[in-house]
Amino acid sequence: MKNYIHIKTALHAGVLILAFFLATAGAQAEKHPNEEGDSAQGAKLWAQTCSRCHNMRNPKEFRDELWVAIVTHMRVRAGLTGQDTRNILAFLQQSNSVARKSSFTKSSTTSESKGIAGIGVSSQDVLARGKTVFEETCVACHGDDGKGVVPGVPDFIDGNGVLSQSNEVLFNHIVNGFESPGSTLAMPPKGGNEDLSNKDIKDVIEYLNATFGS
Amino acid sequence: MYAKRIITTMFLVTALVITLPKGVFANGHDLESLKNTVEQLKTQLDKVQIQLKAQEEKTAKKKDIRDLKQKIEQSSIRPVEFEINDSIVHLAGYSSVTFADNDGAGDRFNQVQFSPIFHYQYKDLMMLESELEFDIGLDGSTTVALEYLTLDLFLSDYLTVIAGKFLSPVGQFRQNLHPGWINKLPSAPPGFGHDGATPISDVGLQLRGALPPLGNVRTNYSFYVANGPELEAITEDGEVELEGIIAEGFTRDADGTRVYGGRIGVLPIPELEIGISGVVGKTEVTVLDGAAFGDEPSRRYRVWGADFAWKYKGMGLRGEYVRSTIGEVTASVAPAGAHWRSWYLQGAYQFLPTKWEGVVRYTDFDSPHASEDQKQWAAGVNYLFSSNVIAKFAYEFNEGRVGKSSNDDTALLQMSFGF
Repeated sequence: MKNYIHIKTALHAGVLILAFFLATAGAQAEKHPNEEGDSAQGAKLWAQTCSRCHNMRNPKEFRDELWVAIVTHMRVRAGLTGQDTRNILAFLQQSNSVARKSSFTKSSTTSESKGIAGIGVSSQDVLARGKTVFEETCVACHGDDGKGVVPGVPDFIDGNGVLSQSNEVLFNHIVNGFESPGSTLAMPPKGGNEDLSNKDIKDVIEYLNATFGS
Repeated sequence: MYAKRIITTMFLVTALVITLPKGVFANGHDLESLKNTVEQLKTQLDKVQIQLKAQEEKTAKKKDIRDLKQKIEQSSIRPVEFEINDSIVHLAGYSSVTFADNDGAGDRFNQVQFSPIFHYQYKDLMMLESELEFDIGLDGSTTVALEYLTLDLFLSDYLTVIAGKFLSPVGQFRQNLHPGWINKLPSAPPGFGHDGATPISDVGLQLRGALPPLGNVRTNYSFYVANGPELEAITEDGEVELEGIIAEGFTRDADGTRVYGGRIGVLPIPELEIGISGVVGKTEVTVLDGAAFGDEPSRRYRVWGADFAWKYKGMGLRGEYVRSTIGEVTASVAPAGAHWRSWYLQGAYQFLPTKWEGVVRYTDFDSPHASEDQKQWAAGVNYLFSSNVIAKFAYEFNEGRVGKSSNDDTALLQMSFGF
């Protein structure tokens, strides 16, 4: 009996030692989730991870500070690393922002002259830059093949689909965000990546048309 | 202001004098007339000045407009304190109302559930998570249960220490899928609900987290030590046998030994997760025929399970297997051992771009009591008003012992809301 108690105590101690070891091995300074995060990586993780268990929640559903608590809860539930959590948080917090409307989106005339001017003049450089933007920001939801990996995301290959629209419409949808009819999920402004410039968006439209357009 | 007015008046008078013909000053009458004219002009000028002043007060100056713009811009920026607060309070949860038409029990609104979840977070260090479950019983009374309450200490990017009452990490359904807005069907698979084949929750300490990714391969884990479950026995036909495993978390440890368990999940590709789970330990009978019962010997308790989940676009496929085994003890009031086993396979497909979703699930539940054994086909149609507001209709084709409730088919209608 005495030996049994010792074994039990040793097991408990082992658990605590393991906890301490793991904690100190990967220990980092106390960190607030707002401090870091790669939104492009976060978009990919968000698309891949969340829908395995539940329907995708719209990033605009919650304010920034509420997303902090929600992704922390999901860190525990879904078995995410701290960095995964910060990446997803960065994406969600950027995606719930209202689009900053630039002058080029105020009217079709203005956007034609300032926003989408130059689209249609493809070069290898433009397509390469567009491909980079697509792979960093769009691929998480739209997929490598452009057919969409998240429910509600349109199929770029569809000849009568989104790419049959004018460049101007595509440009405005990307800048301001868009929700496809019937979808329970909206594409956030700039795909959730606020760092995208007008040129990035023009380049990625070129890439989409060249790669997936009919 | 007055000086300006006098200067203006003098200027006007001088201009008038200069511009008037010399003959105007020829006599006293003309002079008097001129004086009157000047007085009239002065009066009119005063009126104009007053009107101008009033107009100035009404009209915003450029500076005013600039100041106003600044104020608007400042007010549209989120208050700084929202960005730097260290403590966050968040209320989440889910609720559902269900109507069931059962071959045996008849048709009725048989379930009203409200499960608020509280989150209190301090930095990236600690989170308190707690879910309450409010249910209305058959007699109208309200039951409240603490589904879980944990203190989550985030020690590193890869390790969280969880203390308290936690949902069992065995499999996926109990810990991640049971909320109504997540579960694709209105009911839990037989054996995965309360008092089934799988543990519900336990009280203890859990280590949980994820390992650093190896390329695209990801791994998550959870290991725990806890007080463990207890057993209920009943007398049937003069013999005492094990009725069920009470695995909903106790702050006592009747047999004096902890149980150890956990799960490891591996994602070889992002769309697929495969998990294995297990629990080892000891337990003992504490309830006999509904009353507390003591002085029982402890006995072997084992659980093992496997699960997978695969998601591709609008299609989701998942399945789970779990088996709980209780060992034999000759000195016990219920000496025979027992095992509960259940597995299910579920496929769901969302018919995009519509908001309709179809679900099919097959479950095979095996209990030590033949009357509880059940094979079930469940087919359902869901309408997603939004991601978290879902109307579900399902029909369960049940095959059990004839004459028992496990053999009764059920139609279910449910409205679920996750918030």
